[in-house]
Amino acid sequence: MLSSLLWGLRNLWTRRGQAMAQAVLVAVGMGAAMGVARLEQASDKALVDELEGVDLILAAVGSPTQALLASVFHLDDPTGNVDSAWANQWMQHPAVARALPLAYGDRVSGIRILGCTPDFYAWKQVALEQGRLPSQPFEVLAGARAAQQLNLKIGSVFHGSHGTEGDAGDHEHHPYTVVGIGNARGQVVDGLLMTPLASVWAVHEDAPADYTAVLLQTKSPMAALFLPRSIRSSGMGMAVSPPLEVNRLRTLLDQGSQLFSIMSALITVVALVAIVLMWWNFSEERRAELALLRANGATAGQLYGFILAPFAGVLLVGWGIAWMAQFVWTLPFWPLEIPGGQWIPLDGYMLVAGLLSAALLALVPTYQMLRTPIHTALLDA
Amino acid sequence: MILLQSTNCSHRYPGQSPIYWPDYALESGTVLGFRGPSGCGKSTALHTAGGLLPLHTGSLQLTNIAAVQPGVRVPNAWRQKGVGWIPQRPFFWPGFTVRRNLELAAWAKQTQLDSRVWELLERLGLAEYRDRRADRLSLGQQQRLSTVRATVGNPQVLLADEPTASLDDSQSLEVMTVLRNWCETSGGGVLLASHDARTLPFQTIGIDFTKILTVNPQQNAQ
Repeated sequence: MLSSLLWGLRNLWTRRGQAMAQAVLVAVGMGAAMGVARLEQASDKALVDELEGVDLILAAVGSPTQALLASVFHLDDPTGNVDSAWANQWMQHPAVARALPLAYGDRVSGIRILGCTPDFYAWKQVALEQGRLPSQPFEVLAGARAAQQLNLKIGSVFHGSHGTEGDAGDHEHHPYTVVGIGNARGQVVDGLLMTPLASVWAVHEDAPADYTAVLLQTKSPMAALFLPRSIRSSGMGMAVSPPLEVNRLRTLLDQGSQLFSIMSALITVVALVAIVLMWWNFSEERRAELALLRANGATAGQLYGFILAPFAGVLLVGWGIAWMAQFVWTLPFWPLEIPGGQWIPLDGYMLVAGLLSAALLALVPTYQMLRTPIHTALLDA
Repeated sequence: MILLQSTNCSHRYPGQSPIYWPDYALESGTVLGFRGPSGCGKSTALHTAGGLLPLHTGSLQLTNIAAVQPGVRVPNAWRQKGVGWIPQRPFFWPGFTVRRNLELAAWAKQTQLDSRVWELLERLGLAEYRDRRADRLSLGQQQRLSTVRATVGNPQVLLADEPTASLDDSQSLEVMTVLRNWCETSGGGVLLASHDARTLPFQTIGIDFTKILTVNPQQNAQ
């Protein structure tokens, strides 16, 4: 069998261009499925990690999902500001164990400046790569990714700017100084520039010193259930329950990933059909040569191995390309990062499924070849 | 020594009357020619001798290998060790070198290439092309290589189906000389199906396939 596979691979080598194109098609299909699985895994982990210790989010009235995305994942614009005096009442509520007020500042090349309290660093378990935590207004702790992207070092000075992406309207009178750079944690904080709340309020001195959102941890699960109604009835803001919004988000994400999975399955099926057609045509084109091998006594098992090897080779190379691509590189899907070097069960399932499909699909041209009468194939040659 | 003996053999294509051909015995060191125009049954007899078509009547005996009768499955050793094929048009595995094509034949026959194959390749002036693609050789070189390939596994009988049909006179002479020399040196026999008169001088004995019988000749005799 080994020698049959070897001969099959030698044959594949004579059609390496075509085979490589098919392997790339297989890689795209399998790679998309592997990527989706990793993305799902990473998003599940991110949802758990980022929301750990957050039972409620106090925010301006608006879309709860938007409030969640803005205040925890920093993916959306906030629903507005909440009055700090009103928010402070809830932060000091007996049922609240911990409160983390946040004030959104401007952006620097698209990276958000986040006003927060020292408790925020403790909650996020920020570890320092260099420097120290900010203690004075306009001191900044740069997340690892933000520091890398903006090329910030300890002592670097920068200005925030109005708007989201553009750099128009710089606040040149309020320079920020980097005093610390965080360790890469693979979390949202990696992409933030964190500073005391006072910095954000000082930059926007014409506006009231309000919060953008407050992350609340309650003392009991029951409190997380009854507090939102009380907060809402006060009429000055809303309390978002992350589990509810996460479920909604998951439903949306699942629909997206299902669509993507179906597409990747379709691509893989197209690739498999292309391989079968290639080797079907091949056994038609080479019917005389294959008939001569049979006339020379090659057994059905030998010929099956001869046909199987190219199938398995193409699928294996395709799988290898897909897997290596995800193994070698960290795939950035900000705020998620899918680190390379990870083996997930789906990788193994796809490999086994690929080889099993090769074993089954190779039966098609083998059967076609075996049912061709040798003597007519030789006479027609 | 008789290598291959055919007695009262016939083959029946589906939906047709059986085709009978004369009895023959292929002796060691000889070239036995099946003579007659195209379509007279030479190839059918040849393919039956190669174990590619089943017998309708009679028996075929390949010395030291097996004897087959109707309904008896031709053992794989018949094809792997007993016979070697020289098709009418030489063809090789595309993209493979001369060496690879010979190795491929050895793989099919589940044997190894021995020195006799390389010596024959040398003798036929093809040794220098062993690493060239076989499908890019000239027609004459390809037909010689096809002959070398048929000898892989040192079979008892070479089956040659119109081996000179597409060759010019000098190439035809060359191929027939190779076949006759192989018989003489190896002790094997060649079964040759050909309507080409240029092969006649090389045939030790010929069988006329002109009068194809569709009735069992033994029944006629009775």
